[in-house]
Amino acid sequence: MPDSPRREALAWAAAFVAYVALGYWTKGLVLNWIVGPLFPLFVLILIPRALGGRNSR
Amino acid sequence: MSWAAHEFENYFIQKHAGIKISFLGLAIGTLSPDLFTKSLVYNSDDPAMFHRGWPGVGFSHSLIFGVALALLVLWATRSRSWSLGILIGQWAHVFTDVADTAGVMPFFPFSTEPVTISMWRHAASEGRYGDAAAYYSSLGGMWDLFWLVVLVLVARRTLSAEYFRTTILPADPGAWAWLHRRTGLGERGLLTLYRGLCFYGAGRMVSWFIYARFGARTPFQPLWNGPSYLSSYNDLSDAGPLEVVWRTTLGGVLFAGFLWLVWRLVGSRLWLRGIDPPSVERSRTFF
Repeated sequence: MPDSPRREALAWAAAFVAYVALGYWTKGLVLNWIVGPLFPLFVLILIPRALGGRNSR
Repeated sequence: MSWAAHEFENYFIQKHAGIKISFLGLAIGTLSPDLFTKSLVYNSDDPAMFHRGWPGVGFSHSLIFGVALALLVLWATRSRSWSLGILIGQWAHVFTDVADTAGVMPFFPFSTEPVTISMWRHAASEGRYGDAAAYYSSLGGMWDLFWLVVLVLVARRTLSAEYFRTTILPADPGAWAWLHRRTGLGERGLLTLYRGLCFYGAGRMVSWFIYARFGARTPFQPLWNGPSYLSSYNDLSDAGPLEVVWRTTLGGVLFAGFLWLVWRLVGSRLWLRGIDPPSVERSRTFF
């Protein structure tokens, strides 16, 4: 997740737009109580961490 | 049913309860009435009756269900903050669902009379997508928006990193520490997880609203007892207002008596052997 508050807010906004678009497209697949609350964790923390780890190797 | 209000209410409740309740307990309590039943609702012959009535799984939307869950958790974990969180969360869900036409049976089994203010029509009989479209064409969608506005105006501080550090973590240090150990997530990751429920509520609200307008193209009718394009009301009771008031009052009195008895026989003992988070115990020594 980005360090500065502005970049962090932008990252959350981008994640939100992505979730809404995915939600509209796939409906129940992501708009459910399991994927929904975990979505920002994956998009903002886990995926960037995994990609960063791969790039650093 | 409410599609996103249940998620937003958690932060509002947390703001007022502070370190006395666990947010994770609160979230599970709020989700509990629909947790294992919602997916079955759309496949049943009479979705409204199955979801909220008796016979059916309507007891999951009763106050006694919250009491039973809270006592079970208090017995199993001895955690007062989890027990309180689950009780308050489940009760908040019950009171919120009074707003649709199917209503809830708050005092089940002492009264199986559904209580409703019929603000919008319960539309599970339309299937999952039809239900979502109907909800976001009615006052239900406005109800979600109302709670989002309340969250932003009154309780936005609960989403800050500082609040998470000073209130959410100390209210439930064991569970968050367990999550940290099991997942390797640092404070930022846990904070993101904590904010996830609000994110989910807002995302769900916007996605389904857009679907209702541009996918299902249902008419937007945010009026009392709407949307009127639905032919069925899904009101589970034929009783008149006086009969509902009488039965509900009687059920409420019996429930209060039952609650007192349960507290005397079981609840108070479990509460006494229960433990508070260290932060709550520390604060007691100061006052």
